[in-house]
Amino acid sequence: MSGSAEGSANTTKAVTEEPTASGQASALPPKPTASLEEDDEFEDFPVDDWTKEETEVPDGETHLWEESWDDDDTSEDFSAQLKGRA
Amino acid sequence: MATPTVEKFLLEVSRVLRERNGPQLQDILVIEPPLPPLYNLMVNELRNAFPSGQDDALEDKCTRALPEYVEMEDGSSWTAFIKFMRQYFCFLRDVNVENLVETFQLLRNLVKQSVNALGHGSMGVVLLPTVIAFSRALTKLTIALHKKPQLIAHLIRRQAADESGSRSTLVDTAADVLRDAFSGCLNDRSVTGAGVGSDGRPMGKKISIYVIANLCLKLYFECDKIRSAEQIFVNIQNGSPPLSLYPASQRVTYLYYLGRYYFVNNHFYRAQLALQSAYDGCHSKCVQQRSRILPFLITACMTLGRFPSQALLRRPEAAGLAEKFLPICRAISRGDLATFRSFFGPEGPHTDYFLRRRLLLPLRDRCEVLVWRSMARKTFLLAGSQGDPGARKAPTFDLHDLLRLTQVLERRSFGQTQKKPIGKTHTNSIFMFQNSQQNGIKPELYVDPDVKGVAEPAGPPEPTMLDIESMVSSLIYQGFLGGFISHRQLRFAIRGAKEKGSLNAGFPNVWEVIKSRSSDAVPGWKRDEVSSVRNGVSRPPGPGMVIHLSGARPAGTPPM
Repeated sequence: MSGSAEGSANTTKAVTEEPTASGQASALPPKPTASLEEDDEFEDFPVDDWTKEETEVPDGETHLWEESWDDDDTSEDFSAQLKGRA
Repeated sequence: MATPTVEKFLLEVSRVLRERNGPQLQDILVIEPPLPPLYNLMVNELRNAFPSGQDDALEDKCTRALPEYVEMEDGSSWTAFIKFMRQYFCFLRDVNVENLVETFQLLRNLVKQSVNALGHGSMGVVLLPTVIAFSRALTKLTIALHKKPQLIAHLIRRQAADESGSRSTLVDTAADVLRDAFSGCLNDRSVTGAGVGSDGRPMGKKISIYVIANLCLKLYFECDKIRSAEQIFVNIQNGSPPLSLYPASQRVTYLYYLGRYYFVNNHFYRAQLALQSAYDGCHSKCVQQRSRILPFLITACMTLGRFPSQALLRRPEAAGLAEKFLPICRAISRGDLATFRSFFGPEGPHTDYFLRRRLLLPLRDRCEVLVWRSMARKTFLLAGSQGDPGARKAPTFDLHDLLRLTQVLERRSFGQTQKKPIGKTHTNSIFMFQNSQQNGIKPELYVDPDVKGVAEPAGPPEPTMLDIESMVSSLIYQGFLGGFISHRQLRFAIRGAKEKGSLNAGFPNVWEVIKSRSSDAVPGWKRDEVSSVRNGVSRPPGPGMVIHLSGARPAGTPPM
């Protein structure tokens, strides 16, 4: 019945959120970052699956965390209280 | 009254069911407006031939059109599907999207009926795409209503007035239906063993466990019912195939919610593991999702002594985060308690942001421990004694010096949170004497006899040596200070300085300390399991199986 075809056309929006081939992932347009803080909701992904390569960020940077952050500077104003007591 | 379009539609449904074509069934069962013209014809026929109150006649019509499901060849029946079709027609006939609350009730009933029909052993799986699409619509509508309480105010009032009635909310009723759909997928009895086929893919309805779980979790998190998420994670831990068998979008979304759940429960190491995996698994162009993960991931990591790098904060998804988090990281490194505290007071530059995202308490309370560690370290750098390894004399610092530093910073911290210096007037004076003072009349102060002569405190009590000893003991206990306190001398002595150097031994790397004592197991995150071999036959793990890890070797080491 023709309702099937019409139904498909009408649910385009829903279909785009459904599983699609992973190959489409690379066609994703980057989203603007200006409105990132407006809504806290975690949006549905526009594609269902993608490869590990497609998760790699172009900057190629892998050093994301600082685990050695101790500060050896002893010239802060508050530390003047203790200077020279050693 | 003739209903040719309805009959044609039912014929089409019957054909699609015979072909077991789930996606096409979902395609033709349209619910979201605007409806195509053919569906409008159908709605008119339904309103004329089966107006409200004629629902049983409508069900009879569905039964006549789908007689093969009353009694199927295998002896079972699928009358739940016939009832579902009745509900679908009722939805089309009655829905009025101007009234979102009524639409919600109709949609919830429809999803409930679809979940009932999903339970059929052989045919239920054909309805799965439809259940997912309808559940997604229900989730969206429920969240929209939850965020517009004015639309459901009358329901809340009615609920409050009806003391004897059910206390469940609109969100609860939607969540119940979604949870049933989730259980239907998780406990699919039509598949055997662990629910994984020979091709390595989940079988039957288990293929949609995480899609539905993610909808439930979205509803819980958006509607302030995070506690309810626990049951989803427990059920998945007990009965789901490994997460890695599912598509990336489902894995990332699930780990995001799992990480947030552990974050809310102050389990930051587990939160960090799940959120980091979600972040790493995100498509590089999905900046919105990455930006949602990052504030929680950064906060969880900071509490564990792992600060975001400049490279991370330069990424598009981290826009605006450097100015919020980096000053806190700097204050922690410097041991600057006063500046650290200023970020979380009512006048802190980003207090609203931290509060809204619920990051304020973890940052303020968990990271303060790290500030204390830095203060102790700085005390040692500035005023410590290096000791004498030859004379077996350990490096030390005087706890009085740490006390002095703390008092300076506490005083400064207190000053920063006060607009004016505190005098010894009663707080109420700001309301009481304004008019009198304007008229040049000296006001007469009323002092309650009970408090006459009692000096008002000028601020919180200053830290004492007892506080310092408590704090240093706590840091030692947590492994953030390597050494011991000499209570008699009131000095902290570093242990192991000869081997590692006094700074490394006395002030171990926080992240390394926490990592070494934490497990990488995250309940709710079903990882790949080692299949066991019994009688030479490998079989997938299942309930009741015990896997002994006592003889396990680190990865990469050769067999003994």
